[in-house]
Amino acid sequence: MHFDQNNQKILKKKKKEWEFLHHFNQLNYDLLDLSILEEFQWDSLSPDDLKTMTNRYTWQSNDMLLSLRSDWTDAIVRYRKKYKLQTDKIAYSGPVYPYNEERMQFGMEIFSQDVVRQQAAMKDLLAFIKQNLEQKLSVAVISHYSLLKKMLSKDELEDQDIRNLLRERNLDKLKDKLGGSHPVVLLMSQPVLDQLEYARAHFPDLKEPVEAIIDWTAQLEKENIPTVYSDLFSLPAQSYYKGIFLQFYTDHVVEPVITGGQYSSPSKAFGMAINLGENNY
Amino acid sequence: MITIALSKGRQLKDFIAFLNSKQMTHWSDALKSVSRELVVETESVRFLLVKGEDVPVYVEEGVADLGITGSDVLYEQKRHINNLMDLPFGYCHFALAAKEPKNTYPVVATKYVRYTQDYFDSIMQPVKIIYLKGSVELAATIDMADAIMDIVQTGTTLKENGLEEQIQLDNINARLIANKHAFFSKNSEIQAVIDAFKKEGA
Repeated sequence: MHFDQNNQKILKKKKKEWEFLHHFNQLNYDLLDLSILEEFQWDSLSPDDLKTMTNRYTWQSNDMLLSLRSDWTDAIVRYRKKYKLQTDKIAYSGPVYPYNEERMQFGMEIFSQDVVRQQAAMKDLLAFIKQNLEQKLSVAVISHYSLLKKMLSKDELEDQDIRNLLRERNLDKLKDKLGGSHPVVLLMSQPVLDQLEYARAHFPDLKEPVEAIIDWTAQLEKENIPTVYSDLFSLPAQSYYKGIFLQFYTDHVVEPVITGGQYSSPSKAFGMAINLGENNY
Repeated sequence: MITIALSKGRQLKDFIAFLNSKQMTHWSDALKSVSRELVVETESVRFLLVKGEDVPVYVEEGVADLGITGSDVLYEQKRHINNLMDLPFGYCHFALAAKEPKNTYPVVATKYVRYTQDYFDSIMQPVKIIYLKGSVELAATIDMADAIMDIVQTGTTLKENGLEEQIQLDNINARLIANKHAFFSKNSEIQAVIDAFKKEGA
């Protein structure tokens, strides 16, 4: 091992983490640290907890189910259900272990339903990634998780086949399953760039989420991100995500470097995290 | 420029014929001359010629923006890709084949483990699945398994090995798939490909 190189690499990583926490603390975010080891009780697992179990390392110890933290927002949602946090905005950093992977997350959460404050928090994070991590964001994708709830019945939304077809944007099979005149099929049949306008013109029920997407898109365009798209058929990984959801990409990287959005658990909030792997910090 | 992953062999021949039927000769001419090359480039597109089962891997990883592969491969792999449209070639179907009809088939050899498990779950019958990579017919011929689950086009291979199709299952055909990220970042180029593939009477 070349220790000279290795020493510099380790110091650089620790410095970036310190810079992140310091930067957000200066912006009046309180700092939060939680144990990487998470405890679950068999008899109080929520449907969301159950869903994550296949994507994380778990093991059993006596009557307890133990797991490594797989996502910070998920950990914070669980913490907030149990304890009162006497603050309205926090920042955190630490590793997460989704299945077969180790990543570092730098993130922030703001516990407010005020969209202006949420957008200001988003800009705080975008400024940090551009200035301190020197990463150039090339694509932003905006979704709104209430759209599908308004277009699909409860049974359709729970149908695993339909969910898989939506995830894959499999229009042919959705047409077979839902019929050619179903709102989802009509909307998905439009070219991606025209879908938002089509939704606004043809589905008055979608007015609120469509306007929210337009508002957040306008904010992102001010950030000079070359490509900003809306994805109207996104499904949330966790049920507490109920509104705007954002994904940011850098060039030539398949996984989003920043993810986050509006959620409600137990009160309305907004959070975003920078996902860092071995190669991008 | 967009990158398209294709599988070599029969599906490539079918794809070239499909391109000709859509008058996309600038692509088909480039692909016709392929012998052992793995990468073929024209002015607007780069083709990667890979194994059919690897097409979704190249697309999911973002090495290719688009890919063409069978719906059987997609069913087995459940990759994070966009599964955009049916293509009118690569037609065949899944089938359960055995020497003779039986009430149940408790041991089944196959390359398609997920499909086989889902089928037997759907008819509420337990099954032991033996995973094989090729020459699956042999497993039923020498009684290692009660049946095989395989894809069938004409049924000739089954007959040659003393097997008969017992249950005809889902139809299979080629599908156009896209990388989830490229679907947005290169949407106008991808939409142009979809439109050209859908063009009637070209």
